[in-house]
Amino acid sequence: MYAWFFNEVLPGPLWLRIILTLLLLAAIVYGLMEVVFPWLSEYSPLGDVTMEE
Amino acid sequence: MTLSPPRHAASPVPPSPPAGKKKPRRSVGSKVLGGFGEILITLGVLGLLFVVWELWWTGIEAESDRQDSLNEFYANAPEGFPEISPGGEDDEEEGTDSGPTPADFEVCYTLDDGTEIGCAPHMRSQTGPEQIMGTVYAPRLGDTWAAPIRHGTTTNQIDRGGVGHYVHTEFPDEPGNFALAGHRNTNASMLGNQDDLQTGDAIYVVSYDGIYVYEVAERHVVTPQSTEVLASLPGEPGAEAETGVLTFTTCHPMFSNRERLIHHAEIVDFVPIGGQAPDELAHHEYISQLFYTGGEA
Repeated sequence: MYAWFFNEVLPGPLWLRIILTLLLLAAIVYGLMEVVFPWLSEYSPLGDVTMEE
Repeated sequence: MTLSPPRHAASPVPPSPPAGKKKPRRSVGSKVLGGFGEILITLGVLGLLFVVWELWWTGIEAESDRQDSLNEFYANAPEGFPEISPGGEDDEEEGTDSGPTPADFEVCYTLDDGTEIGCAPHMRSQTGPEQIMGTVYAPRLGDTWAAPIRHGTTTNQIDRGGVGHYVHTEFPDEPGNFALAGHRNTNASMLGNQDDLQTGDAIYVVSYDGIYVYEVAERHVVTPQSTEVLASLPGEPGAEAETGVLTFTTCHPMFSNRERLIHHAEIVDFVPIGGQAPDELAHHEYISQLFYTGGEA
C-alpha cells in the first residue's frame, strides 16, 4: 500500500518523492495533533480528573 | 566474477530465475496480508501518537496559557484598587522603609484562635469564563509553581494550565470547602506532583483580596464518585462547616483515571493587601506588587 503510493502516486525523481513523503507525514501528524486528537479526547475518559458531581 | 557452486555441493545449482529484470509477482494472498499488516502498523503508530499528544502536546499550549493568565491576572488590578506601597525598591531608595501597611479589610469570619479572615469580593466577581479568580501557590510543588484559578471544572477551565474551582463549593472567605481540580498527567499537569505535598505544608491562595493561608492536613485516595470530599465539611455531606478548607483533587494513580487523589488543607491565616508576604512567596515576581516583601519589620 505504502510502497505503491511511494512508487506510483508520488511524482518526480526519488529525492522529490522522499521530500514529498516527509511533508505529507508532517502535515498528517499536525492535523492529528491539532484537530483529530482534541476531538477524539472529548470521548476519552483519560483527561477527566474531576469528581463526578 | 561469477559465482560457482560450492565444491562440496552434491547437486548442481538449481536453474536460476530468468535473467529478466522483472520482479517475481506477489500472489494475491501475499498482497492482502501485506496490506493488512501495514494497516495494523498504521493503527499502532496512530495509538502511540495519541499518547504523545495526550501527555506532551497538550502541555505546550496549556503552559503558555498558564503564563499568559498569570501575567494578565497581575496586570489588571480591579477598578478602584488602592495604590500599594510594597516597601520595595522605591522606599529603600529614600531610606524610609515603612514596613508592611496592611489595608483595611472587611472581616467575613473569625477562626477559633481569633484570626480574622477577610472577605473576597474581588475573587467572587471574577467568575466569568475568561476570568482568573486568583492564583494558588504551593511552595512544596516548586519555587515557580503557581496555578491560576478559574471558576469551573470543565475542560474549558482546567485544560488551560491551572486549576478549576468546583462551582458548587464555597469560596475562601467563608467556612466551607474551597475545592480545586487539576490535571495529573496532561495539559501541563498542574497537579502532577500533588502527592509530594506533606502534612503541614503551606498552600497560599492569592487574589486582590489578600492571601488565604492553608496548611495541608490530610491526604487520601477515593473513587471518582466519592463526592463527599467536596462537602462543606469534607467527609460529612450536609454538615455545617465551622472553618475553611482547601481541597485539591486530581487523577490517581499516575497515568490512570481509576481513582482520585485528594488533599485537604485547613485555613490558618489571612494576609490583607499590603501586609507582610510569607517568606516562601517573596521571590515570586508579582507578590511584591500587592504585599510587603521587605522582610520582617
